[in-house]
Amino acid sequence: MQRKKVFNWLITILILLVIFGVSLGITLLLSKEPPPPTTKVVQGVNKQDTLMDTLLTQLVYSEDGKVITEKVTKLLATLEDHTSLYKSQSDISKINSNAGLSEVKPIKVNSDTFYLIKKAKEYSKQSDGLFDISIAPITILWGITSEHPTVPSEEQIKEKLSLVNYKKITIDEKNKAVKLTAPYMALDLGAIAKGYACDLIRDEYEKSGVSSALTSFGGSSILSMGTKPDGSDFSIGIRDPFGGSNDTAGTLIARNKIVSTSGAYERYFEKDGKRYHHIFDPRTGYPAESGLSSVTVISDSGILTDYLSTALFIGGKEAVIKQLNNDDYSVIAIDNEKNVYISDKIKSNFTVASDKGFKLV
Amino acid sequence: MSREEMKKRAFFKKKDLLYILILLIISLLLFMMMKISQQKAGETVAEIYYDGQLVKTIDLSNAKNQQFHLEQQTNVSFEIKNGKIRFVNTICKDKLCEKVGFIGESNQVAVCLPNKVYVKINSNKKSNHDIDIVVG
Repeated sequence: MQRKKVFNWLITILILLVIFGVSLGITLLLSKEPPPPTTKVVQGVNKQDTLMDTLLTQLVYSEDGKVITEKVTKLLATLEDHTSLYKSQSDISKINSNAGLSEVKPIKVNSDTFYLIKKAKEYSKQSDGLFDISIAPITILWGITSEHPTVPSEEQIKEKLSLVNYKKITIDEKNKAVKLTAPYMALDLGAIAKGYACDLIRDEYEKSGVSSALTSFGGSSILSMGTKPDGSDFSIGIRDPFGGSNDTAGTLIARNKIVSTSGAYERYFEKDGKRYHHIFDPRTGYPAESGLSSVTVISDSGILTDYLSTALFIGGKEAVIKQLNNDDYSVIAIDNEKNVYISDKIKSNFTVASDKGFKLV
Repeated sequence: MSREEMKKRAFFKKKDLLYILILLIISLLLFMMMKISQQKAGETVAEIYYDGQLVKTIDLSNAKNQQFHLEQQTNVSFEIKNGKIRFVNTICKDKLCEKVGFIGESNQVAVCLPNKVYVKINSNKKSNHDIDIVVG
């Protein structure tokens, strides 16, 4: 009798073991990874660098991703050496420190610096002074990037504003040389250098055979190349101007484009309850108050998107509406009431965050 | 054979069936728990970069609430709370990094430029909007 009981128990345990085994098999089967695709999946290389006072993050899907991203970092370090406002040996520092010195000939500069200044002067003219590459005396006066930004007096602003005039930049095409004709004038390429850097990055990627990449320069300019390895599009969030740096006002699909945004939230300080941001209006010498909270421009050219996002931000709603449907670029502008103005041709690629109160107009 | 004997000789008793059922349920429950915990481990990871190099990886799904200094850059501290991470008590001029607040969703980032420190969330958990990058 006792033996029988033991035998029954043994059988029970055996059955349980079988059930255990079967359920283990089922679980494993259910949790199994999907079968690897037939084509080889390229691992993305993710690289971060602090360059030009901001963060460069590269995501490149390529077998040679490591080498290519290293190359791009070096390329941009060189660009920084030439164009930095803060490096004493840069082209820009040399041009600025020789401003107005009649005995000094135009300063010979690196070809990238020359192209940037030449383009910037053209853009300054094209925007009718809404964008002015010689705004630096004003930005320096406000000390917006310094540790102690201040609100200057009316007289100080008036004085410095008289130095802001792109027409006083002499460009010597033959010698690739530049000169500022009035004393104390200064150039700052900060408003277009990051976008231009995206152009250089795209060229380098293309040269290296990269067909899939997502690279951000300072968060304000982004290069989107191709699709993810699984064929899906990169999804680009447009920052919510009223939220934190990870909140978005909408989502954009932009294949093989450079996207630049200018917003009042990027850099600012508060004084006596008023907020002062870093995008100055060359007409007033004060932070632009155009009723817009951010402007995003999408195009093939990064130098153009960087410039236009700034110019349209300063220009305001009317300027945006005028430029809304252009063949060469698209625009997404958000005003202070969360109205979103968007070019017709990208409407279908954009999802507005209506849950946060943003609405298309 | 009497009914009594039949009962005694029966291979399975009602009681045995009950045991089997209970054990089966227990084992199934164990499996479900195992599967859930398996999925959760490594689901959301915070990657901390200093000067372009990945210096620390934290599994936010299993991390205890805590504060810690970054060894490589002591100007910077982090707080982990409820599976999210943020910069705290940072020594820098603008404190932009602290203004970002807690992050814990896929592809979210917080940057402290003056100290060259950067934290990025890597998650295989799909967030609501599933954004690869934010421009602005």
